[in-house]
Order: sequence, then structure tokens, then C-alpha cells
Amino acid sequence: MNSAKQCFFCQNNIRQIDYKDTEILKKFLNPHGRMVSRKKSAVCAASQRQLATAVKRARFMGLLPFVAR
Amino acid sequence: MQAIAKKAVVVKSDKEEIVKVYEIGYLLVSSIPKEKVADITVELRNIVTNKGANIIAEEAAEITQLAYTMIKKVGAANIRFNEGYFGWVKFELSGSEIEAVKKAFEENPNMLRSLIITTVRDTTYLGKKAPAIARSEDVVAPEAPAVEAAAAAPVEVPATVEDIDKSIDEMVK
Repeated sequence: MNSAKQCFFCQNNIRQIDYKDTEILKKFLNPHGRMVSRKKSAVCAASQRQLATAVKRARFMGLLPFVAR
Repeated sequence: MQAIAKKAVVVKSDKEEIVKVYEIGYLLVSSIPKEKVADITVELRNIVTNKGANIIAEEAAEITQLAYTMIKKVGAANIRFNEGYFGWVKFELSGSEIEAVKKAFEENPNMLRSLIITTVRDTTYLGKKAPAIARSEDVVAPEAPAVEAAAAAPVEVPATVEDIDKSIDEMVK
């Protein structure tokens, strides 16, 4: 009955989130280029912190936008 | 006094010996000709190896579309770039040498941006696997559209004159 969602990174056994994997990072951005909250994505706290760092690095290197639309 | 100074030196030398795994991501300007990119990549690789680094993994620079326009100041002019050659090198190096590597990368005239991070020895970059994993499932549950909610609500049909007459007759009876 209880269909609790699991963390995407834990499910796929991704221990270290790389800033160069933009296809994966894009899944956690909304159409404006902002990060999706943990409440919606169900990412665990540790992965969310890593994800935030990876997104910021990718933005600096021009792989992801700071703002979109 | 001398003993304290000696102790401090020992601590410093201990720090210098710590070998870490670093990764440098670099973005080269798109104005350089395609034939020269390979040479510049080797040049950058040599900066790292000359400091005694042990290369773990690397990817040659490839042209990529930038997510936003970057500006590089050359002399008095601001040159804008929408494309760049992105490459990276992962290596093992002692902590004392990394500052020199950083400076050498930044001083390269073809460098648009560079980023040094500490990482782990294992492969973290999924590369071509990433799109497949990304496609495998939806991360964010789509919110129920407002149209569906409206459709679920009972629709009230406006009463006709005949219906009203009938209901009045029933009430009178």
C-alpha cells in the first residue's frame, strides 16, 4: 500500500554525482533552470547536497544555464 | 623557540606529502582552429605531468554549445563566446603543487574557464550511459493537470422552462 519513492541516485547506485553528467542533472531542474526540491524529487539528503554542488559546477562551466526561458 | 619552529616545519612537510585526486575541467575558446585543439590539449596535459602528476583518466577537448554567453577580456575588448572546447583531466598530485597547476591553466591565453575539484579515484563520469539512465524513469511526478480536476466535478446542466414547470406542478400537488 505504501508506495514510498526512493532516491534516484541510490536506486541507480550513483555514489558520486559528476558535474559533467548534464543529462542526469537536467532531470532535477525545472523549466526555469532552478533545482527541484527534495519533496518533489524524493532524493535523499546526502545526494541532494552533492547534486547542488554538481549543478553549481556545471553552471560555472557553461554546461547548464543559471536561468532559462 | 627553535623546537617550536622545527615542529612547524615538520607539520608543513607532512601536509605537502598528502597526495589527492584532482580533476581539472577546462573550456577553451572556440576561436582557435580545429587542428590546433589537439596540440593545446597535449600542452595542458604536460603542465600536469611536469609537476609529477599521475594521470588517471582524461577526455580530449570537444566543441560544446554553452548554456549562456561567456565573456573573455582580451586587452581592452570584451569577446563573447557561445561555444567552447570542453575537456577534462583526472590526476593524482600532491597538495602543494596544485596551486601552480591552477595558475598555469589560468594563464593560458586560450583558456575561457577552468575548474579544479577534488574527487575520488573511481570513475564518476557516466558519459554515454547517463542519457539511458536519465530516460529510465521520471524523477519528478507530474502534477495533476487542472483540466482533469475540472472534468471530475459534476457538471450542472441549466434547467429548461419545461423542467421548471414540471417541478412547480409537483410542488402544487
